[in-house]
Amino acid sequence: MTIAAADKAVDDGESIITSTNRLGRKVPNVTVRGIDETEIFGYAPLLDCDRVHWDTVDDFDPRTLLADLPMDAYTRRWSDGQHRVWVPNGRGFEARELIKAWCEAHEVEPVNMRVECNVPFRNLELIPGSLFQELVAATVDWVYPRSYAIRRRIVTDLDLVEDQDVKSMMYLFISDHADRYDAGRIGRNGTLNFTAFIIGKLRTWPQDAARTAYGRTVVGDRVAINKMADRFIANEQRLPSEGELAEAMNTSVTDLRRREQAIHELSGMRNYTSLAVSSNDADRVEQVQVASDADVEDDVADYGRSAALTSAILEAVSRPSGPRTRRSQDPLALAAVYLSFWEGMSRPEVARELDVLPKTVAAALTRVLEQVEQADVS
Amino acid sequence: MTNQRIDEYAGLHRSVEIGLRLAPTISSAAAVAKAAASYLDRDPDVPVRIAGLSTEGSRVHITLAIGLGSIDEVKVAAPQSRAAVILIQTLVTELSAYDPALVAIPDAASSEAQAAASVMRTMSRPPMPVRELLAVG
Repeated sequence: MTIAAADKAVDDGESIITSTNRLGRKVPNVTVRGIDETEIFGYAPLLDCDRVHWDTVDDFDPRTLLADLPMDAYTRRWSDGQHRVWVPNGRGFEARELIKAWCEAHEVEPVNMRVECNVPFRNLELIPGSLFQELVAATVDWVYPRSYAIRRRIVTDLDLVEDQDVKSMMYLFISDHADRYDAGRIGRNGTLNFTAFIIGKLRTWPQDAARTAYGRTVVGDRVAINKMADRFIANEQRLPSEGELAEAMNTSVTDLRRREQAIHELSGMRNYTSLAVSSNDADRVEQVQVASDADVEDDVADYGRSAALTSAILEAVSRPSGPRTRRSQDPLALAAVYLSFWEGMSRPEVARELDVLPKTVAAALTRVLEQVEQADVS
Repeated sequence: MTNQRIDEYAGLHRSVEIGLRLAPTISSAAAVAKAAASYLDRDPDVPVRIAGLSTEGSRVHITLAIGLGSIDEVKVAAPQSRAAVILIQTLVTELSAYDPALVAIPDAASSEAQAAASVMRTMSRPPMPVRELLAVG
C-alpha cells in the first residue's frame, strides 16, 4: 500500500476523539498477502500471564531452563538483551524462585530479577511462516513516514544513532512489543488495532531508549525538568529562572544544577541544552558551579579555628611574658610548639631535635600554652 | 623522617622550618600570592620556599616553609631567627583574611609538595627567588 493510499484509508476511517482530545480517524488494519492482522494474531491467542524479567552478567539463553520449570512457560528474545519468561497468571513468584534456584545450580548470575503480574502475552512463534515478520515490516512501512518527530528525538538524544539506523531500530521495537498486543482491550474509542497500539507505544520510545542507554535516574530527571519548564512557560509565557525551576521541583538550586550536570556529563546526551542555566551560560553547561559536599559552616569554622590558634601562638612567641624572657621574640618556643603539635614529636624528641634539655622544652611549651589559653581560642 | 633530616643528624646542617598555610579562595589566590610576596620582600634574609600547593573545595592551599634558622640560631634567638618569627607574625596578621595557619610541611612525596615543586621548576628557569615566584602569581 502506498503512503497516499494509506492516507486515503485513514481519511476514510471512522472518526474518533483521540486520547489528547483531538478529532482523528482510526488507523487501518495492516494486511499481509491479503491476510488481515486480526487473522494473523489469531494464530497466537492472547494469554494472561505473569512475567519474570531479569538480566545476567554473562550471555545466557533462557530457553535452556524452560524444560526444567514445572509449568507452561514461554520465552522470547527482545532486542534489549534482557531475559523474559512468561508463566501462567499467579505463578510468577513461584517461577522466579525456581529460576533463581536453577541459575544458582547452573552457575548463572541473575541480576535484578523481578515479576510483573497479570500481563498479556502472545506466543508469536505459533504464527506460521514469515507472516509475523511481514506484519512487522508492513507496520514499520506505515508508521515510519508518519513519525518524524519521534525519529528526530531518537537521533537527537542518542549518541551513535543516525537517521539511517532508525528504521531498523523501529522494526526491532515493534517486533519486541508485539507479544503484548491486546486486541481485546477496550479504550475510549473501542478496541485498538495493532498499528494504533504501536503508535501509542512509540510515544514513549525515545524516553525508553534513552533510559536503556543512560539509566533511569538521569532520564527521569530530564523528563521532570522538561515537564516543569513546559508548565512554567505555559503559565508565565517565559522561561523559568534557576530558582523558580528549583522551587517548582521542590528542590534546591544546587540539587537542580547537580541533576542538570549529571544529565549533561554522565549521560553525554547529544545536544542536551540546559533549561535552568540562563541563555548566556547555555553553552557552558559543563562549567556550572555546584556546591561541594563539604559542610560549608564546619569548613569555615575549621579554617577560622586554625587561624585563631596560629594567631594566638604567634602572639605568644612574639611578645613572650615571664621573668626569664629577655627578647621580644622567642623562636625556641615557636619551634618547640611546632615540633610538638604539628610534627607530632614527644618532648624528649623535641629536646633532642633542638639540642636543648627536656625541661627547657617543657618551659617553652608552658609559656606558650598559658598565653594561648588566656587568648581563649575555642 | 625525611632524608634531609637524617642528613641533619649526620651533622651536615640542622635547621628548623615552620609550615604556614594560606587558604584563599580560588578567585583571590593570585592576589594573596602577590601580597605574600610583598611581605616576604621586606626581609629577604629569611629563607622561604613554597612547600605545597593544593585545592580543597573552593580554597587554594599555599603552604610556605619558613626557615627559623639553624638549631644554634633558634636556641639563642639570634637575629635571623627573630626576623623569621617577625615575618611569620606579619604574614599571620596582615593576611588574616586568608586564614593563615601553622601546618605540617607536606612530605616531599605528597601530591601537594610535588605540585609546588613542579611550579618551582617551571617558573625557576633561571632560578627565581620564591618572592618573585609568588609575585608572578
